[in-house]
Amino acid sequence: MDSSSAGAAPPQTMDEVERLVQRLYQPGNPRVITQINDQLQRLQHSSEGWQIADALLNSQDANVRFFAALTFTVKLNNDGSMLDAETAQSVQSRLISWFVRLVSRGESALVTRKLCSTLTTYYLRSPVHWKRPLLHAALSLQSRDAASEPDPDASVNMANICKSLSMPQVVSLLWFAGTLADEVGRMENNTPAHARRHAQMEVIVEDASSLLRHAFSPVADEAGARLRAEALRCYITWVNYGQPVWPQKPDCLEYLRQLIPSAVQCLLDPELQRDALDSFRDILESYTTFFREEHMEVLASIISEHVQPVLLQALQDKDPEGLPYGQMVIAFGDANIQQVAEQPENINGSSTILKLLFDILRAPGYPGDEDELSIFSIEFWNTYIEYVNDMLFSKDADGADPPWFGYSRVVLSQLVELLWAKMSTPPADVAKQWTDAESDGFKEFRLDTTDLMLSIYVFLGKDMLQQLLVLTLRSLESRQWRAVEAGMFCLNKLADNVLEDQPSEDLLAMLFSSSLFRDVADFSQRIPLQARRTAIDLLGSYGRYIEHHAEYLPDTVRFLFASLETGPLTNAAAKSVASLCSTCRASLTGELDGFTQQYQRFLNGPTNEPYTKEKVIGAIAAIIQAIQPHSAKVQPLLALIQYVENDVQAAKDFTRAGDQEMAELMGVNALECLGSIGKGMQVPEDVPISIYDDDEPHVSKANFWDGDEGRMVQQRIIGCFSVLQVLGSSGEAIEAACQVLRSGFAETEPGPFVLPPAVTVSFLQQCAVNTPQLEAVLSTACILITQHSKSDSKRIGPDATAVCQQAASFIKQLGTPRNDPGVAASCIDVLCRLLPYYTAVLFDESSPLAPSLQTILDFSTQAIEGQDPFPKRSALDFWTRLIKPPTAPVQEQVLNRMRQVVTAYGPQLALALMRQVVGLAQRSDLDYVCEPLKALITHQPVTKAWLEAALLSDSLPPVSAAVGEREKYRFLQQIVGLRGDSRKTKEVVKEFYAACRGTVVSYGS
Amino acid sequence: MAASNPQNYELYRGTSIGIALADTLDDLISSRRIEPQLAMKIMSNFDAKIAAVLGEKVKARMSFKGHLDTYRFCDEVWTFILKDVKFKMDNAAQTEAERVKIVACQTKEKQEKHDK
Repeated sequence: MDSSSAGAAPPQTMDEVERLVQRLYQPGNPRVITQINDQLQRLQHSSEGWQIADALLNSQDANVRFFAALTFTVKLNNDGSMLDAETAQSVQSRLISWFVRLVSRGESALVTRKLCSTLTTYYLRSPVHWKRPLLHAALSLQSRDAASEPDPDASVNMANICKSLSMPQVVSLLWFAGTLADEVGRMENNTPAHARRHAQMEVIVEDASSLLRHAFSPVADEAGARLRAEALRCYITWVNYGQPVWPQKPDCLEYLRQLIPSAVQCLLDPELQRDALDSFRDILESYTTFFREEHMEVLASIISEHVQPVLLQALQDKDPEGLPYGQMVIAFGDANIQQVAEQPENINGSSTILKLLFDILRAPGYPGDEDELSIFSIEFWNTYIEYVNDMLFSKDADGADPPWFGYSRVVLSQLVELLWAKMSTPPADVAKQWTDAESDGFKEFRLDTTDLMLSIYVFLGKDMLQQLLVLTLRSLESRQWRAVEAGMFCLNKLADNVLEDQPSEDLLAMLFSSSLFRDVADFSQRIPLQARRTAIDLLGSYGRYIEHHAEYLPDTVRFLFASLETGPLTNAAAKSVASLCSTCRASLTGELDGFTQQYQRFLNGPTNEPYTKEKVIGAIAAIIQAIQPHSAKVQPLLALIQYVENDVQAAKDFTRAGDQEMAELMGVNALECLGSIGKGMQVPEDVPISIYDDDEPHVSKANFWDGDEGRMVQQRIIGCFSVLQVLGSSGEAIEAACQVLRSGFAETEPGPFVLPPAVTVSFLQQCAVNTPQLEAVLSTACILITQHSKSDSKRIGPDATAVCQQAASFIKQLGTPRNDPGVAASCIDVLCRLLPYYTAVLFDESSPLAPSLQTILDFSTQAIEGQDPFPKRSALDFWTRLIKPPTAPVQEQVLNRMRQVVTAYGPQLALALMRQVVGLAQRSDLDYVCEPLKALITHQPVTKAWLEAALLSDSLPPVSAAVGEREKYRFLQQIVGLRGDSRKTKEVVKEFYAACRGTVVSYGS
Repeated sequence: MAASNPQNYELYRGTSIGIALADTLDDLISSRRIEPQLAMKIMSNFDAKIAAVLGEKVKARMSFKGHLDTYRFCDEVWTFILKDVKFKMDNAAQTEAERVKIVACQTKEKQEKHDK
């Protein structure tokens, strides 16, 4: 075994300690390294730790010296606050002494910085108040040994001391100053000791600023540049310290502000420029008010004279080195938005900035690819338009516009054109070479830009629409399809806003009467696919316009149907077909036969896919819905159902042929298409009401779907469910069938999909407890009961009973909610829906459910006790409804039975609730637990006795020792005294819960 | 975090992930595996990180439209109550809600800019 893998024996001498430290930093067996680390940690924590650290700092090995400084830090962190004044003074003296010696020996940056961190720890942890650490360290460096701490009243001049120090000594002082600001800044200000350390920084900043002023002073050699680089880093750390701590201390900040002119010179030094740009950008972005007007003027002038030429060259060369220069311009503009927007005559402060921001967008390259700056610049433009819109809305409606609004219109109009140009998609050969990240970056830029355009539209309105239309149509004339696509993309995203403005109608005619859609519909023309796809999206978005201009409609929809048969356009076309047919259904009824034929052709083509089929069949159904009278809907609707039946039959055939995968694919899609037809057949919410039709008796409308023809349609719909016989184990199929049933629930008038409740009941009855997606079926049944629980809806007592019987059967089979929490919660949800209109289903002694009542109630109390949140919450809701007085008339004997149940289960329920409150529940359950508790307290006078018995019961889980009988009684008094007050009950319960569990009452600050 | 650094908003504690974190921290405190102070610290880190992560990582978008029923601006917090709201997702899927409450707060970065 070699020495590196030998175990770590406890060291007996300093030499052994040193060797152990050296082995720690050498590669070796991880297990042995861990042992060495443990040994050394024990030494660090031992009472000899101070002496060991002191001795190791004398080592020849830099790693050992680093470890020594670390050991001092560990000792200070652990024992520093317990040192007596004399020992603390001695530790300070040793640390300063080592600092001076190591710096004078030319110590490495690693060890010196670590020692600076140790000195800072001393400042933070020592019981002796170290008033001027920087000045003390500087004096010591000057006298080449640990000097005595300067008298607070002595007029020692830091600036003079700095002049006498060497460059490495000043650098080490800058490291100390930077570490001090950084680490004190990370310390919370929540104890008197910490507050005192922060207060002392108000004095120390004077020394730091003298040091920084010296370091920034111009020395035109390499050493001077290094010093300024270190000074800049230290300076930024102090500014970051001052920002949150000194908002009310302008005097302290003044020390730092006075250094701005010196620090700004770093922006002119080619060696420091990049770091300086990042530093100043950081302050501009997060601490704008640090700069005063005169500072901003200096920055503006530097941007104009020094940043501008470099940036313009970099933009022209597509050089990524231009990034920090561009970001500086963006940050400056963002920080001075009022000046940029309102003072166009200010050359440096406004017009140069705007010009550069336009140049960024004008530069070659695609955003997300080689053009990163355009993406960043969007943030500035968002700020700009936000400011302009704020001004727009804060002025009086009839008041005059601010004088600079005209200028803003020009700027924004120019911006729109540049953004439009920048949004053009790349040629295919460029796009193919993009990585996913580049492609996503470009897409994100387009979306961010359209969001920005929405804001600009608020200000420019119709002018902007006209500008985009002109740009698009001009590009169309010259057959620049990528530019046309970019224009359509913008128009598409503006659609919702444009359509709200009536005056836009005339302008849109420019687009819709142009050759654009004829061109894209002509598949013999070579047009980029993306342009056709965006044209399709555009048609979907402007459905409301097309609805009012029926002359465009048939051509439009025919183009979309034709696009359905073009592979890459299919999905976009299907989406737009669905949107347009739904919006313009009334105008398209004359085209129904043609569309049905096109659908047939599409079905026979290669682009026929489940998604597109579902969308298009729903679109045609929407047109059928608009046909009047109802009888005229029957034949076209049956034609659509026939397509579904064909797929159902195909699914059955695949099953017979043993191809279950295809059977499932066909069968599920058949049901999804049927659901889509159901959705399309729903009466739109905004359907016009004819005042003349009111004379017509409603009965005649209602009767149609109850008549022979209507019933026949419904039978055909129900017949499609036969596919479940071969797909009973498919959750997707069950869910799709539920969607079909639900499509009729939302209707207020009879219709083909408004099926008799018995259909839903029968569907539920065919399910077993292990049927996949049983929760969806039970949830559908819940909706059925809810729909028939409205004050004006028809009651479905027998159907509700049948649903409940099935739910009770599932409950029996489950035995305990734990066996399937999802189904258990859904079953209890069904019970909840019975209250108040179907209360008799559960509580009438003659109800078929009567024998199962006890099982149901026991199951629901078990759910409260269980760990699964959903059944628990459903059960708590159920008991809350049960305890509260019914909100609808209930027969007297049913009401008596409910009261008996609550009385019988009261003690058990109170115990279950208290078990939750004292710790079994999660914090997130407490609001739900409070509901039945409040209901009991408000409506059951004996609740106090039940709760008292529960709180003193042996069945309660163990609680924190801090909660005894007295606390329980106090809780009881409080909770009962609140008489069901919602907010206070929750507070009291939460406090008691936290006390019982030994946790916090709230995580809030 | 620095001494008087502004606290992060606690808005996201009410989300399912924030609620789940609180439940987990309760369990850890009750079983004496962590001290309550650490739990508080974790929760305040959650406040900072969830806001940052949602801001940086979430790329999905949606638009919505509805009737503005009530709005107020109190203590730098905007509250909007909308009725009959239609949401349009990225993939053109649509969903509706009868009532939506939007609580919007100034980002800390901007707030600092304005305050100082």
